[in-house]
Amino acid sequence: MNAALAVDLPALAAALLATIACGTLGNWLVLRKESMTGDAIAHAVLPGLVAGFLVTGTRSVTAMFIGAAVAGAAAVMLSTLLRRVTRLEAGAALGLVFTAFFALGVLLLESQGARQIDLDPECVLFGSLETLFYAAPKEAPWYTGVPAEVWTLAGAAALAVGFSVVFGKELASLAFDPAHARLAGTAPRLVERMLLAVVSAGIVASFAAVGSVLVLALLVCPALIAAPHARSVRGQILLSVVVGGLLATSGYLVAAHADQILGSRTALNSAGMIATLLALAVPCSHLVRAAINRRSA
Amino acid sequence: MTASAIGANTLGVLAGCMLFGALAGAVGTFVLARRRALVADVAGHAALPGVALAFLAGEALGLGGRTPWLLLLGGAATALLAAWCVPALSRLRRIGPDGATAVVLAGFFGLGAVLFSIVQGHPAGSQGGLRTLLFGSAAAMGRAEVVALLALATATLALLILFLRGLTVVAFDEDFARSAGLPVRGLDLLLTLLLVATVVAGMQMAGIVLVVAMLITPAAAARNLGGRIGRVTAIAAIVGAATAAAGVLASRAIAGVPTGAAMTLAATAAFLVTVPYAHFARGARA
Amino acid sequence: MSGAATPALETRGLTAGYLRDEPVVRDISFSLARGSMTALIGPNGAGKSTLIKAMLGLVPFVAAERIAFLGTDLATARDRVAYIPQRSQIDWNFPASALDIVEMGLYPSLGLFRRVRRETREKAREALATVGLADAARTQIGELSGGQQQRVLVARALAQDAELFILDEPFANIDAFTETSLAEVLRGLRNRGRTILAVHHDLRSVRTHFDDAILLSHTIVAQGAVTQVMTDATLAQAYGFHAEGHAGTHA
Repeated sequence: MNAALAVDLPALAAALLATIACGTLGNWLVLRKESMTGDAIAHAVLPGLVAGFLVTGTRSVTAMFIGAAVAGAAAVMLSTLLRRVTRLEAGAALGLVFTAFFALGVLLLESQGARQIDLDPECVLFGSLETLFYAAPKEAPWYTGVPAEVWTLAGAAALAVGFSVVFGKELASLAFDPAHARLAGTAPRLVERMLLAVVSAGIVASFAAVGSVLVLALLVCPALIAAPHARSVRGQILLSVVVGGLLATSGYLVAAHADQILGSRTALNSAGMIATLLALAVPCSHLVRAAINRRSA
Repeated sequence: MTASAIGANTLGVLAGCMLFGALAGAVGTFVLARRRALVADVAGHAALPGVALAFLAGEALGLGGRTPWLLLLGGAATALLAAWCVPALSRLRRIGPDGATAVVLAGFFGLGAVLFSIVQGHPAGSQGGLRTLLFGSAAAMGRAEVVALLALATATLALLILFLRGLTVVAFDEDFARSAGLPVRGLDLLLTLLLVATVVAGMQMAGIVLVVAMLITPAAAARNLGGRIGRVTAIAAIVGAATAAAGVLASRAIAGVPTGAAMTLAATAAFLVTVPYAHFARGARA
Repeated sequence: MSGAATPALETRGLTAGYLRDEPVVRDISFSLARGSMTALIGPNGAGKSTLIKAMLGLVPFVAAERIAFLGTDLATARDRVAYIPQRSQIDWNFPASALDIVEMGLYPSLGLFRRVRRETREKAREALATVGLADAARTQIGELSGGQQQRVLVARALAQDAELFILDEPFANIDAFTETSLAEVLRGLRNRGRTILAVHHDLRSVRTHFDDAILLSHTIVAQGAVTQVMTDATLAQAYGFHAEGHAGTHA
């Protein structure tokens, strides 16, 4: 395989799969007005991730997954509990809990794990898309050369889409009118807890490869880019994933080839570039909608 | 340890961190009362692109990348811009305050990540760079940094004390403030300025990612203990100063622990101690 | 199942609020006969919305000797109880058409895994036609008028085919035409044996729309037929002296 493709393809695949996983689930968060819960989970999974490594002593995907998902869900539940006990407003309770979790994760990483885990705090924030590459195996089948992160992300993307299809009507009903859905809906609490678990899983899977900045951007931006144009929940999800995918691809290519395109000295951080493009696209998308409305009026 | 053993610079760092902790606790009390906790989070993250730009500008102008006042200025500029973007964006249909906060945070921090990678690739950046700014490092603070922190924190604290009464009225009874003819919008703008100044003053020490914890957690602990606003603000300042000092000392004692993480955990511990108090004190009244 | 003899809604000794030590409503006891149409009235901040939310378990702190829906508990009766929230509590920018929202009333009957089929959609269309919105099925909810939005919420409850309808301020901020047609829809429901309880704020129209009333000011001041409930004395007690003119014009 061509050397450039061996570097670009796995990274692009990871970015696109993360867009499908986080972009799909992000629509539910945005519709429920819980965008910042995504940010909190993206920070709170870190200690669980590191603890998973430390307990098993290996880079076991299962251990890190379980640890991180538990930490993410625990942080959200703790912040709900704090609001009840101390009367803090939602944002403050969320901020208090996730900074504590994240600080604990950084502490574990720096004091214990630095030598055992090839995960440094900078990667945690900005991701390591650039370091994913395809190592063509000599004798084994071709797919054994695909980095583990890509497989994990493929699983997360499948989970996110499957969950949204199967529980779509309950999720939509809960997002539109929680009071009505909690009264009349089928197993509303179960569906809400599953959403929390699936969002945590999607975030964990994306986190190691794309970093917490891009996780947040992928959760909220595609949904908000699609929102002004969507006429149904399904339409909003489809549009958000398509536009998110296009922006993620172009963001990655610009960053990775910045030395050729922009004449900069080195390649740029691609997770950051994608996040910047996605965030810029949100107000642009609203301006486009306003222009269309003005013309048709 | 005697003063001579730890040295004048360490004393300066300790003084600086306690002043910052006190400031963050006091400003945080008003930030929580105005429900701006997550705006503080945005401001912290949004300082990154400004700091990176300031580094590159410093290098280009021959001042050196880590010129403290230039970094503070750059960080404050983008943090303020972000704080302005949140309400502007939340007015758009179908976005709302929650979505706007997340988008602005992601966008500014993403841009910060890009500029950060340029700084790290810069010949001057590869030596020290801005790495320590992410999670904070009291150890990496030189004399000039400490002086800049002391100056900015003192000025901010003075501004807070000067407008204390107006800020108090707006924070705890907005309707009364309006009816009394107080400039609510102006005072909110002032609070945003104080918030950004606090975040920027503390970023070298607490780091841009976790600096928000020093605005939220000590103030939340003080609220748990209850009492009138003056008392809450004072307790928040004391808790902030104490936990900031504990964080700095802990990060010196345990090698490799970033100051920001240590401070956050110290403040969280202080908060957890006060939670049962909040619970039982109210239970007794019921 | 018990017939018309059991009340549609019964509550005894209910105290509830958002904070444990600060109840909004205290010691509430009343019962609604099947096929009755009752207005829950009272001054601003009297706890009208809190009371109905508390009965439905949507308020953090609720204590009561008894809350019975259709002779049983809410968990058993939930698909036969329709709650219609205040229009202002809903984000009308949600990406959905009027028909999509009305279909949501049918989700409980579909269960978790069955999908929306043609007969489901037909039922939803019928409910929309009942409230006079047959032509607006495909319109985005954000493009409907306030009155139309209110009627969409009622249609969702109709689609659910509930026996007890609990409405929070259904007549708030809607045009006169919608008010009349909505009142007609509700009266039609009552005539078919359904029970209606609605929070209502406009004292002038209580008589025209409702048979019975409950006057609330943190506790129940009066309950019964509208004419008995709305006297100078009771209104003065609930509203203070400001409402005396109001009551005088109607008494």
